[in-house]
Amino acid sequence: MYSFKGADAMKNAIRTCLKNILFVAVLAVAVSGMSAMGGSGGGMLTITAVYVSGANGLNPSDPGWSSAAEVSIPINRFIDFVEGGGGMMDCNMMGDMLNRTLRVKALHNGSTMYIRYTLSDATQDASVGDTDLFGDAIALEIPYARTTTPPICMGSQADPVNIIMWRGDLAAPQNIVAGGIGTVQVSPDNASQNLSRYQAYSKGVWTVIVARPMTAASSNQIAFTRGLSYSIAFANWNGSNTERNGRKGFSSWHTLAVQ
Amino acid sequence: MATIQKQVRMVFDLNKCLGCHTCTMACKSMWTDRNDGQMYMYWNNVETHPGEGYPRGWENLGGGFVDGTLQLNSPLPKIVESYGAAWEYNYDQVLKTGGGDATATHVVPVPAPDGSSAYSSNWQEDIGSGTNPNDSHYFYLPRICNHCTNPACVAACPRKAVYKREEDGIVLIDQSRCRGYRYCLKGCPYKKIYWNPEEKKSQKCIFCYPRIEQKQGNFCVTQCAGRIRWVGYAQDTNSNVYKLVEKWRVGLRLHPEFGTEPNTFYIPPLSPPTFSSTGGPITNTRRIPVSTLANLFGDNASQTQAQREARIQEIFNILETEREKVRAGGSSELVDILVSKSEADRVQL
Repeated sequence: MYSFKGADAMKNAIRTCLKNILFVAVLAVAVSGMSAMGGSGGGMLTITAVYVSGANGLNPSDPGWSSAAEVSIPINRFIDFVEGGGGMMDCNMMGDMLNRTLRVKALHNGSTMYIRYTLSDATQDASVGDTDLFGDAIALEIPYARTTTPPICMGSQADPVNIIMWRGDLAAPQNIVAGGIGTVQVSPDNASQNLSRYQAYSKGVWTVIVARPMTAASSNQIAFTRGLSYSIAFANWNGSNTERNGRKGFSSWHTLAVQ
Repeated sequence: MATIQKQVRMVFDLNKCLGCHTCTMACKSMWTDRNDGQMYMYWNNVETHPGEGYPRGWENLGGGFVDGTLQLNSPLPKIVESYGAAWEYNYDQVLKTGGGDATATHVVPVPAPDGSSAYSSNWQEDIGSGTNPNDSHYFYLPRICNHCTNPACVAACPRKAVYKREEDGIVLIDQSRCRGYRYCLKGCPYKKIYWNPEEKKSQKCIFCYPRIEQKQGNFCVTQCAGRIRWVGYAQDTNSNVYKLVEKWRVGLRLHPEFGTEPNTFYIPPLSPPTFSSTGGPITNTRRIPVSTLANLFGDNASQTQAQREARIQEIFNILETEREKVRAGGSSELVDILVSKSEADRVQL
């Protein structure tokens, strides 16, 4: 994990970035032979939300989960704020390299969508009970226009995004609307705060399942419709590293296909 | 930055502060007793100097601006270790009335600050520095959010949840916009923003803006038993804050080198002379060293330590000259302002 400190560090970081671009290019060639479902290469990956009638996806042992193929999403970019230089970096910069992997599965039963995350994390951060405590968090981001790929950091005014954010200290995941950096807002209508979750931390691994009705509760939610594909991106915050807001790891755009 | 039409200011006369904490209790009972997450917060606090203050060691934690660049290098102070956990007293174990069982012999805080790193908001109260009786000294320093003209908290927030009102320069945190990132805590060099772990928001002194809007003084101002505070608008030449700061120039900023241009001003405390080290005749040196005061107070960020000390001596000369006029039977506008018997003398809104 790298962090930026000051203008000179910025130049060094850009040099590191360029070295890492070369590294990623080499890596991409090396893994290009792997299949998209289960590969961890640099290309766009597809997560298929399989249909299992009657599945209760909030139960991690539900047999429906065995039908869902797991995709390893690289959380390979990191953005930070500059301690001695005035605040949050521009999120639309490439950011530094990161080595996290978010394993994702998706399942639905025709009325409820379930997204399952498996994430290695040495520390469990499920409390904000002190000034210096931040919660582990995972978010998914889908443009309201469904198949566009807006600026990955909170979309834009013309191409806004729907974000579903799980955080270890929250009783329920938040439904969020955003239209550009600094604009995230928990959607104010109670109807759109209709998410629930399962979470468990054991032996250095988070298992998180986020559930939401497939139909949109309001215009503040994207509808999950069978047969359609969606642009999707993921972000991860490690609470013990004081990650929150833009200080986070994130992926590039991938695809969610709803069976 | 938005154009500030009027700027509220507050002046504190440290020659009059008794350390009674009435201001702290006024603010606490008005604003920070609403939920458990606020119990440890003292938006107004009174700390003894020399001392580490509240939160512990705040002066050296960081934040503010260096050469105009916002610093976000400050650690986030922990509630128990740096502020002190809110406690209750075991009245039910001590009292016989009200259902008490009178099993304990004296009142103690529960939970009690414990161990070598125990701390609380007034842990070092009345301890100060020096040796008794030669040069022992301390004074009280009441602090609120300074509603700075160049607020580091406003600059720190990446989603503009912290803002400075144009109509009066009061700095507020929009609770519906705050997502609890706490960069504002890191940015504030005075550590006057607090984390509410129950509401998951950052919160701070609101300058009693609902009272100010009704032209009532802040509760910490009106309740002050020592009558040490004045509130008014910086540009109002008829206000006592203007007269104290701009006309008589007896008010100094706290740590102006932090670069935020605070809108609170302190009249530094005079103190009696020391004894010599052999207990012999009194000396020409004040008990509270001018250098100690110059470490804390100055006019602006570009003054040297020597310039700050010169300003403090200048203020002492003004105070003593004006006091002497009144002792000799004359009158002094400055002394009249400093006495300020009525609330109207201390509040011009």
